[in-house]
Amino acid sequence: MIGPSHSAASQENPIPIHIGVLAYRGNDQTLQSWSPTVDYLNRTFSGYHFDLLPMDIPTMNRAAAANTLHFTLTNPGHYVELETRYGASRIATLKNIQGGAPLTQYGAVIFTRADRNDIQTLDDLRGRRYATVDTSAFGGFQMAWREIKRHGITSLNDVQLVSLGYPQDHVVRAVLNNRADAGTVRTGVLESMSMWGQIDLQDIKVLNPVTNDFPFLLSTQLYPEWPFAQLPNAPADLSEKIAIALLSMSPDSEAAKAGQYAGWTIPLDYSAVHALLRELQAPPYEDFGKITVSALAKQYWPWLVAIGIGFIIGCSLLVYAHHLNRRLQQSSRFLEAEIQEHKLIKQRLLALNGRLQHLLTATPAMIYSCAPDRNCPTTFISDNVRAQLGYEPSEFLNDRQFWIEHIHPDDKMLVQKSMDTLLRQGAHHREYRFRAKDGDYRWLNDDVRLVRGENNVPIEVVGYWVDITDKIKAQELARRHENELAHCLRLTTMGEMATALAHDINQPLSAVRNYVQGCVLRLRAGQLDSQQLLHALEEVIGQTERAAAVVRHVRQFVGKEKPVLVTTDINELIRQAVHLLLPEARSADIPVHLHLHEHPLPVTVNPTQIQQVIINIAHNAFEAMAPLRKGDRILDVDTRLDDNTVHVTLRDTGPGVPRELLDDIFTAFYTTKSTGMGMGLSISRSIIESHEGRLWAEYNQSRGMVFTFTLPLARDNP
Amino acid sequence: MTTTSNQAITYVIDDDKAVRESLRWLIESVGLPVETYGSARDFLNSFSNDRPGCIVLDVRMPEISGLELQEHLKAHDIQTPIIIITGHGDVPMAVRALKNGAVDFIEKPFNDQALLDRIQHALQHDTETRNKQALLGVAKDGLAHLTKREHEVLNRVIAGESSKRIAADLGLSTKTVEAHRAKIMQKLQVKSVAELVRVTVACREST
Repeated sequence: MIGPSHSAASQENPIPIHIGVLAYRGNDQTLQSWSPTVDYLNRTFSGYHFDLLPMDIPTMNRAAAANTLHFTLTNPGHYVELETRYGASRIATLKNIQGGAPLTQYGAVIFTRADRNDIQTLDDLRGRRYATVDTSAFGGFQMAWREIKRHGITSLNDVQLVSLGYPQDHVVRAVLNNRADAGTVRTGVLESMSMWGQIDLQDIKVLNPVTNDFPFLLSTQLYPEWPFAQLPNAPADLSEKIAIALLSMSPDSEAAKAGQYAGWTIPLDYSAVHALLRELQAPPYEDFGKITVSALAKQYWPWLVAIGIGFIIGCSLLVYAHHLNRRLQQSSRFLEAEIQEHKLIKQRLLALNGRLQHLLTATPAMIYSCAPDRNCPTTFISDNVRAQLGYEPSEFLNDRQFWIEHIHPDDKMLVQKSMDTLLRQGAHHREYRFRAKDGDYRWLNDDVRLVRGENNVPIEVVGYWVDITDKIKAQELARRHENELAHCLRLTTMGEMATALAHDINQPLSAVRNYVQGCVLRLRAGQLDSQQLLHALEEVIGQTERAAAVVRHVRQFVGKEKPVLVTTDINELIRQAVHLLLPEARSADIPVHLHLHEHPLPVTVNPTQIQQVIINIAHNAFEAMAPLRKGDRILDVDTRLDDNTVHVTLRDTGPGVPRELLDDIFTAFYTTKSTGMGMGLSISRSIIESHEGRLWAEYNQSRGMVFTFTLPLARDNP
Repeated sequence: MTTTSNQAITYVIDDDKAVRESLRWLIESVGLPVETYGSARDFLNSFSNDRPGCIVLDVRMPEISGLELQEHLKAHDIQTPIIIITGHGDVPMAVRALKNGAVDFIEKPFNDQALLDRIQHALQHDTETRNKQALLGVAKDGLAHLTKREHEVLNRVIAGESSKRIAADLGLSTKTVEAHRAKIMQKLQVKSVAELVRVTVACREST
């Protein structure tokens, strides 16, 4: 029977399609589980009406033989029988939910009670009560039986079979209640029961355990899940569409939920099932291996002769065809190799050309040549000057002064001078500003080389420009950020020193107040002569000046100024920094001992930044030493000169940085303090490095830390 | 230092010379004699506990801090009151000072009049304390010179018993008891029974 095509079908007269489903747990259960799936198909395909027919194995076999079924859904073992006998063909494999997990394969587990020490191997099952749902069950019996047979037991008579019927939970309970000695169920059943609290997996011992990636207890190899299969009379185009509909089913769909599955996957390989059934001599292989060769020969000898002759002819033809094929393949391979080689060469040429094109057009470098003279009249310039600077190459070539006239007036002299260097040294590198077509100046990095001819006569200058405006701007920005950061740090440092500074301002203020109040009291009592008044007022002026000096120092330190390089004596810088630190040193009761080099040590630095570094390190030292006993707390600062390098060393007697953290202390945001941002040493180091010096930390010989920074001695000074 | 030997004196201890001298100027403005010291050590070297006075000191000082000085004085049973000047943020130190029994502390920047008031108060307190202790000294001396019988009488007088009752208890005549009591009051230099009771109790408590 050939089914009518889908297009011919109509809504009014739907074509009935019969789906046989193995009802291993009774018709009601089957209808309940699978009706939603069939409903889904009915909703998806108009023009067909799908009927769900629950059947047992013999009924389904009969229906398949009578061509009244179009599709089947049955266990893998039975499917193989239908495939062999009735031409069934799988179109999808079930993604079953076992113990909560979606799996496309399953196996069986053979088990006994954990306390059954007398049953250790499958061979121990001999003579025991062995529970199963049904001997026709694939997962519930056949899978396990294959393993048992492989381990010595050969006949069903060797064990006492106990068939309990569905659901498989019965088997588990029978074993646990000692109504059976051992049993088998499909994988996932034990875990599912355990999940619902019905059993404890501790009470179960698995026989012949298999360990692999499979998530459940397992005693057998794995087999593919139930297939959805078409029978020969299913409409061909419909099978394909059903397969697509099944594969696209969502795990959340009502159909999947009702069937307790997670969807469908592409049809798997069922050869393992064939092998199992052959081994068990189960349908369709119930006669497998039972027939002897002689019996076969007796029964079918005419056929055998015919097959033999056919076989010989076939073999001869095969040998000849093979010979022809080889010759054809040889020549074709040769041709192919030639074509391949040509293709390769062409590709390489194209790639090379592309690379050159890319280099010439996309490179930011503008390549040029010019005559070896001070104004360097351009003799060649690459086309990308148009994209980079906005000028036509001809503008350079037609005007001998074009290049030199577009250099920034402030840079022109320097560039012209550098031509002399070039003539002398043969190669040179310079940076200058060049006016682009849009009127803006661009920073150019100009790398030039002199080409000499015979007798060393300069012939030509070649070189390239790279626009480094962005880089220069970024550098400026970074410098500005660094200044802002340093400023921010100074504010933080001052914040931390505020208490001590407040004390330093309060002292002269108190004195002033005392003098003035004293004057008031004496005037009221009429006891003040002008000499006394003069003395008091002079004291007041002195104290006011003292307060003002503190404020001035603070403002100088905190103030955000442009970095100015000044050549100054490092000893003097240290004295000033220590002056700022004195209030804090006094309040922390830590003496600061200066051991400064006897001669001035001139350095060219930004004084505020260097002071900041000193204050930072000292401030850290004060904090580190705070918990120590008085007398144990000392900060030593010394300066020395070593081969034109000034060394400044700050030595504390604190507990020191833990060794494992020594590498981290110069990292930004590293801090052991509860306050502060941990920027201090990181910024200090970048300040010193921007002065071409180094800053490092090491351990004091006895106790505490030694921070040393270096600065180059100013060259122009003695 | 134009001070007479028994006039109460203010000792100013501060390591900051300007502050120290300005305090002298201020305190002398109200006619009080002042002695100034740059450190607690200097002060201790010249201090003799024979005159009423008070100590004004800065809580933060090098070498011997204000607190250490306070503890030192306490250990030597010197009760000269102390006014401690604290800076901002020295609250924990101030608390410690109070626990050690400092008379007073005052936070910088302070109101000058408040400081002067506290100094006056402290001087007056010290003068009174010293007077009381002088009186107590006489009484103690007197107590040491009582006879055994006089002690028996005194104990009963303090317990509030009448002369008659005391006489009966001790098997003496009332007249004899009265004579003992007069003798006791004379030795302790007190003028009334009430005073006798107060002085005796004070003496016994202080030993």
